[in-house]
Amino acid sequence: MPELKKILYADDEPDIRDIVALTLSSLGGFDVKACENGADAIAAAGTFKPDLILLDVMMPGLTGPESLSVLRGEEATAMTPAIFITAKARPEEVEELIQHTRTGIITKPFDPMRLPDEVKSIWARLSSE
Amino acid sequence: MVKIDNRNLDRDLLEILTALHQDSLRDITNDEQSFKRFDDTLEKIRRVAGSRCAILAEAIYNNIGEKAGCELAGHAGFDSRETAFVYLTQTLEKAAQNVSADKVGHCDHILSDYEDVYVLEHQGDVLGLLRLDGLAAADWKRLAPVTEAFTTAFASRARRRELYEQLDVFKEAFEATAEGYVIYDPEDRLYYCNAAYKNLYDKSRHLMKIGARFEDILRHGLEQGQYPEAGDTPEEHEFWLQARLMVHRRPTHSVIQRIDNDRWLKIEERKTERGYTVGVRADVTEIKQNEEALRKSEMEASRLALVASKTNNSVIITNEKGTVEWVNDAFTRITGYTSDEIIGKKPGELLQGPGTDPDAISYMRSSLAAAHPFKQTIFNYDKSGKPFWNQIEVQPIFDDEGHLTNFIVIEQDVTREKTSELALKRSELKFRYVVDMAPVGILQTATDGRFVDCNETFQKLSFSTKNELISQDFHQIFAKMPAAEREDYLKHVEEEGRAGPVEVSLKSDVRESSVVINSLIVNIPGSMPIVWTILQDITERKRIERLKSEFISVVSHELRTPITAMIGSIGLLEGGVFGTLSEKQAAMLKLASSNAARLKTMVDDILDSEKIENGNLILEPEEFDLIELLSKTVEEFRPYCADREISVEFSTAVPEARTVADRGRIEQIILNLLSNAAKFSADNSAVTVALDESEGNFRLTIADEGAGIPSEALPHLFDRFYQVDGSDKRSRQGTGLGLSICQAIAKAHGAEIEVESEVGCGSTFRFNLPRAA
Repeated sequence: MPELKKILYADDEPDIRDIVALTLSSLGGFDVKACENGADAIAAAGTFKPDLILLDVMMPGLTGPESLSVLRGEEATAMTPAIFITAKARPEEVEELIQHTRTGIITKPFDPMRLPDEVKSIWARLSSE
Repeated sequence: MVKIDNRNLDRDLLEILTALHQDSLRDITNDEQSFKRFDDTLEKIRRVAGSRCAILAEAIYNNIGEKAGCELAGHAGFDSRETAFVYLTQTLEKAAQNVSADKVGHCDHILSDYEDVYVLEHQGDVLGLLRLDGLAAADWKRLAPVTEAFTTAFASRARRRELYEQLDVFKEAFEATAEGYVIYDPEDRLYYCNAAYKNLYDKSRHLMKIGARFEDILRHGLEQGQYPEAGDTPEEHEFWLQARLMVHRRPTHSVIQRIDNDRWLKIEERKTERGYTVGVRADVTEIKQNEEALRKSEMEASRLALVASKTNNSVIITNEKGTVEWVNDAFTRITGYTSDEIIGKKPGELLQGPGTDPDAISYMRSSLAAAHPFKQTIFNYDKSGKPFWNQIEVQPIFDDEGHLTNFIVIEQDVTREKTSELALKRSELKFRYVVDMAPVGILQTATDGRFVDCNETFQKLSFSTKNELISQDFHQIFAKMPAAEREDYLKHVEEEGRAGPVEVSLKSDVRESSVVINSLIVNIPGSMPIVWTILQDITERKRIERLKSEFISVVSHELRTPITAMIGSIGLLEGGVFGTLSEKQAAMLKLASSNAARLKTMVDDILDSEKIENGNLILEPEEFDLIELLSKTVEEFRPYCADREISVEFSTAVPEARTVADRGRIEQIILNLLSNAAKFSADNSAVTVALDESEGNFRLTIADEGAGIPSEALPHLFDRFYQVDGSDKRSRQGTGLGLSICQAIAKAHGAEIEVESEVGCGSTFRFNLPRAA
C-alpha cells in the first residue's frame, strides 16, 4: 500500500489556503504544494507528481472541477485521487461534483484538527477504488 | 237444332255443384279415372254408331246413378247390370247398321218421345241414354221402366238446375256487397261466407273453408291479435272468447267489434228457423272515427270554454281589423277595463303609453297587417295608469277559403317574471364582470373536457385567445401536465366533484407560466354541469423561490468560507500548534470558538431548513450500533456542560441496538436535543439519555430537569422559527429552526419526536428507530 505524502492543493482564498496548508503540513506531516488557482496547480502537477489533489470548487478562472478535468488528461495525475473542498451544500451540487472518478468531498467549514485524518481516510478509500 | 255436348254439360254441372257442395262431390271431381271411363264408353259408342247417333249422356253419379243402375237391371229383366250392358252393346251394334242419317241430332226430343232410347251403363253407373233409329219395339218395351226412372231423374235435375241458378243469383248478390255475409250451420260450422267477410278477417282467411268451426276461426284470430279489445293475458283472451261465443250462439243484439287496431265492425247475427246462424259484418270504422272526432271536438270546445273563463290570462277575440269583439273576465282583472269599455276598440288604444317601445308597436302592427302570428312582450298600462309587462301572443284565424276572419290574442301579465329576468340579467352582467376582471384565471369546461368559456386572465396565463381555445379541451390546454396525472385529476373531479390544488405549467413557444389549479363541478338544475377550474398565477412566486434558493446557496458559500477560516485558525491555536496558551488566552479563544460554532450551526440550520422546505432532504441510511453512537455523542457533549456542573448520563436497557438510519442525521437530532436540554437546565442538574425497547423498535429518551415548557407552547414546539416566549434569555438564542429540523429528520425516518413537559418539572423528548433486520 503506497503512502500519502504529497498533496497538490489549490484555493483562491488566501486565509483558507494558509490554514489548510499549515494544518496538513504541520499536523499531518504531508508535503503540500499550495496554489492560488487551478492553472498554477495544473502547471505544478507534472513536476510535483502529487499523491492527492485537493481543490477548492469555486475559483476564478478554472473552477475546481474544470481543473480536475485538465489534470485527468495529464499522465502524472490521470488516476490521482482528488478531493473537492466546497461550501456548496445542495445535494444536487454535491452529486455533480463526485461524478468524476476517484473523487471525494470535504465540506466547509471543517475542523482543522481533524482535517489531516479526514484527508488520509478519504485518500485511502479512493486509492482502493 | 241444338247439339248438346254431353261432356261439357256434365262439366258445367259439376262446376256448379262443386262451388256449392264441394265436400260432397270431392271424390268425383277428383276421380279423373271416372271421366276417362266415361269418355272411353262414349268413344266406343261413336265408333259403333258413327255419326248417325245422337248422344244424351247425363252423368248422374252416386245416388241417382246407383238407383237407376239397379232399376235397369231389375226392371229390364236382366239378371245383372253386366248382362244388361252386354245386351245393350249388342243391340247397339246391330241397330247401328240401320241408323238413318236424318235422325241424327234429334236428341232434344228425347224426353217427350223416348222411343229408341238406350241406357248406357258402365261398371254400375248409368252413363247416359242413347237414342237410335230402327230399334225393335220389343227391345224398347223391355227398357220402358228404365226410361221412366230417368224421366223422374231428369225432372229432378231440371229443378235442381233452376235452384242452382237462383243460388247463383244470390251468390253473386252476396259477393257484390261490401258487407261481410256468413252462414254457420246449426253445429256452428261455416256453411257459406262471401269475399268481403274473408277480407275483414284476413288473418283467418285460410281457415274459412266450408265446415270450419266458428270457435276455431275466432280463436285463431285472437291468437293473431286481431281483436285488440280482447285484452293481453291468456285469461282475458279466454273470457272475451267465451263472451263472444255466447252472443254468437244466442244473438239478441248487434255488436260493435274492433279489429286490427284501426277498424270497427258492426255485427248483426240472427238464427234461422232451421238453426243456421246468418251474420252480417258492416265496416263502421268511418262512422266510429267521425263519432270520436265529434266527441273530441265537443270536449275540446268545452275545455276551451272552461279555460277562457277560468284562465288568468286575458283572452281577446278581434275581427280581421283588430277591433275587439270579445274579451274574457281575466282581461278586466288585469287591465281594469270592462268588456264594454274595450269592445269596439283596438287593445293598443287603451293599453299603450309613453313607456311602450315604439319599435315593438311597429313590429306588432306589421305582423297584424301581414296576418302573421307573433309573440311580443311590451310595456303596457292598466286603467289606473299602473304600468305592467304584457306578454302578447296573437294568432290569426282564417276561414275555409283562407280569408282572415279574426285574431285571437292571449295576454299575460309577466311583470314579476320580467323584473326577475332583468334582475338576473343585471346579476349575470355583474358576475361576468367579476369573472372577467378576476386576477385569477377561470376556465369553464364540460365534464368531457370540452372548452366552454374562460376569462381574460386565463387567456393571458395560457398565452391563447378565446378563439384559439374554443377548439381545444382540458387535455390540450394542460398538455404540459403529465397524461397520467391529468387523467387522475379529471377522475377526481368526476368522482369527488372537485380536485386540486395541483401545480402545472402553461407554455407557449417562448414563454411559460406556472399556475396552481383547483377545479369544482358546478351543477345548476336545467343546465349541463360545468367544471370550473381556477388558476392562480405562481410564476412570480416560483421565480422568487428560485432566487431565494440561489441566494441561500451563494450566502451559505460566502459565509462558510470565513467561518472555515475562523474555526480553522482558532482550532489550530487551541490545538497548541503554535505553542501553549495562557489561561486568559485560552478562555478568550474558547469564547471565539463557541461563537464560531454557533454561527456554523445557524448557517447549517438555515441550509437544512431550506432543504426540508424544498423536499431536498436526502437520507443516506446505513446499519450501525445505536449504543455506540449514543455513548460517543454523550461522551463528546459532556465537556460542554462541565463548567455548569450539569451531569449527562447515558443508560441502556438493551444489550445491543443495531438500527438502519442516516447516522449523521440521527447524531444531529441527539446533539440538538442534548443541546436544548443543557441550555434550559439549571446548574448542578442532570440530563439523561436512555435507550430501551418499545413495540419492537428502539426508543431514545432525552430528559432534563429544567424549566419545562408551558402547555400552550407544546403544539407549536416543532414549528419553524418558533421560540418559547420565556423570561430566560437563553430561550431566545438560536434561529428557532432546530426542533423543526429534528422533527423533519425523524419523520423522514418514519418516526416522530414526542414531548412531555411540565413547567418546573423538566422536559422529556422521545423518538423511535427501527431494529435492523
